Amino acid sequence: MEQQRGDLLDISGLRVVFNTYAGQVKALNGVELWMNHGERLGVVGETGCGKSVTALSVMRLIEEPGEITSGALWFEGRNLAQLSENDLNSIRGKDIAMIFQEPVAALNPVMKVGAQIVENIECQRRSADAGQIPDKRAFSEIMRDMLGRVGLDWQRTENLYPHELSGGMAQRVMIAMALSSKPKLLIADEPTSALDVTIQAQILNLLNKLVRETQTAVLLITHAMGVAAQFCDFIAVMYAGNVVEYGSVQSIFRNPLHPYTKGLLNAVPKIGRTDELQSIPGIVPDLIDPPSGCRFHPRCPYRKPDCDTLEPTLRAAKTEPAADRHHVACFLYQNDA
Amino acid sequence: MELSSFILKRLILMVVVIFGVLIIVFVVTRIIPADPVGAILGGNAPPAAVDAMRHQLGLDKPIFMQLLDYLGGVLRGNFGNSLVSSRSVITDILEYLPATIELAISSIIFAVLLGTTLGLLSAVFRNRFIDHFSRVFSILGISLPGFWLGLILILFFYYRLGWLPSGGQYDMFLSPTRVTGLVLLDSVITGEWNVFFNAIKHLILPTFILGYSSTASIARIMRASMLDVLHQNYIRTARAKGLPKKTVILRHALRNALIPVVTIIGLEFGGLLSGAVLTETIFSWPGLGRYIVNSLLTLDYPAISGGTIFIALIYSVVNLVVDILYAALDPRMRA
Repeated sequence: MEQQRGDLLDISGLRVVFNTYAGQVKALNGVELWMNHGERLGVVGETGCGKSVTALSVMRLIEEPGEITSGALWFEGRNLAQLSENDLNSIRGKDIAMIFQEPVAALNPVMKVGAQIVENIECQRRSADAGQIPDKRAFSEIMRDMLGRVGLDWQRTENLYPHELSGGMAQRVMIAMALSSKPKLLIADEPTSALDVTIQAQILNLLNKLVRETQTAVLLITHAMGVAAQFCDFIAVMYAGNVVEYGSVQSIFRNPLHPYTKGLLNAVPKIGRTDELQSIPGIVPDLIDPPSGCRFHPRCPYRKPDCDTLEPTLRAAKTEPAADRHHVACFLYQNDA
Repeated sequence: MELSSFILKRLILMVVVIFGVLIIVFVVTRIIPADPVGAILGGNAPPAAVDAMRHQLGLDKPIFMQLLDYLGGVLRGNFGNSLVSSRSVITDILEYLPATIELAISSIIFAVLLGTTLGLLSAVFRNRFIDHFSRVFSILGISLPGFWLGLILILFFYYRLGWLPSGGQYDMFLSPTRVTGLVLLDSVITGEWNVFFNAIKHLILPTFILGYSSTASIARIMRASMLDVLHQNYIRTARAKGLPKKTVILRHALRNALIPVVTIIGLEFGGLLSGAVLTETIFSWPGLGRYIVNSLLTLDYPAISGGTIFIALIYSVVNLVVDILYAALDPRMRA
């Protein structure tokens, strides 16, 4: 096994395709990402760039017609890409938990929310202390404690059905469920995108508080640069199935290297900014027939002659301190190659 | 809405529906160009006898008065007397109804067990052998006419192999004690086990023929519903918890997938109770379907009306039960 770059998670060369009638969608094209215990990594990019597919791949929840064709998903020294369903089930929900974009739809409509949380606790305990008689009362206690910690009154909430919850309450329930098993990594796939703006801030603050208490690492998928900057230590920028830039929040915001990242940051409105808001010309490529070479080259203002034939790889930007982990996949910074 | 007020509302609606059915059936049977008196007395009866019969049956009054007389009788629980058997229609129906109920229940049990299982397996193992098998089986069930398949099966299992009887509820030489009229139940109550096993053998072919198309409908809806549910976000949540596939399917997917299936089961059961006419005829099954067909052939007006109202009543009750079950399965319906 090669050295893991992050001691918690290291995704290398991850390729995922979806076989559709229209053709093979090359959704992930060699994704590189890594993170240590307790760190928060934000994955940002436009709709369809592969953020959610990356998140689901880590849980190995990619379903037909999608499949992981190559790459490794190192998690604490085990390659999730090679594990059997049984082994995965001992990691899912226990070591890695996940919350989703549409919290109400993510809860089973015919089960009371309390029971759904208890089910998660029970499932994790059963694999931990196999053979022992499960203590249902203790599970209920944990469930009630978790509901309290996400700011819900358990007496009023535990017997409700998902359709009786607001989006914000449902996401609190999902967070309570996900954190009830004290996971090492929480994957949050656009956890606030479907919520009202005021609720978004509440949920992010709550998440921030809870994961700081428990030192849980977070992989936050979002399309909002601002959310990632506020919440995370590191940011990975994705474009059309690749991580094009990766590094600490400061390094990405102070010194964006990739032309796409620069374009993204220029497209963020700021108070006091008087110039016209810039957009990135062109459209997101069709991933059934992606552009050759660097997938960003048709839209890139700094295109060089080789960009449409060679694929750039994610490499360290040499001018910055190693702690920033600033990496970029662009030939503008790889003259020596 | 409270469940009790929901049920009360549905009950009131049911009474309206039954009276609607009653009036339509009454009017339709009276305006068809046929003469029940001719059917009873024969074509060569003297005019005086015909007039006397007409007066005796109340057929000389205007239709509207006849209808009022009939409605008055129904409200007092009197559906009139059969023109053929001269017995009260209620007595006749109660004699034939148990055989129909027995066949319908056994058919719906068969259809629900086989249909949901096939649909479930079909969805979970999509595009595999079991899915193809189940889909071909369903298409055949919906497209093959029951009376034709029934005759083929009688030919094969009775005539060629001699494994199963050709018709009837039990062998002629048996005389089971009648308690409820449901032969299987009665034989268990009285401990007449030879009757029980004999009746089971007689039930196999009619159950299959009557239940086959329902099995097919249920399997198709179950498959579609299950495929839909398996792509829902909450199934992904259940998998993200690390639950084994079996638990995800049986605990999370199945109950959600059953919600639309329950509607179909209710409709099919209503159909089985009322629509067993052909099956009952082929298998000489002494049920309500055959009673109504015979009543039609002899223009037995009170029997036709009474039988039809009974079927409408059963159908309405089954639908009410389905709606209540619906609310029990889906908490969103209780809102």
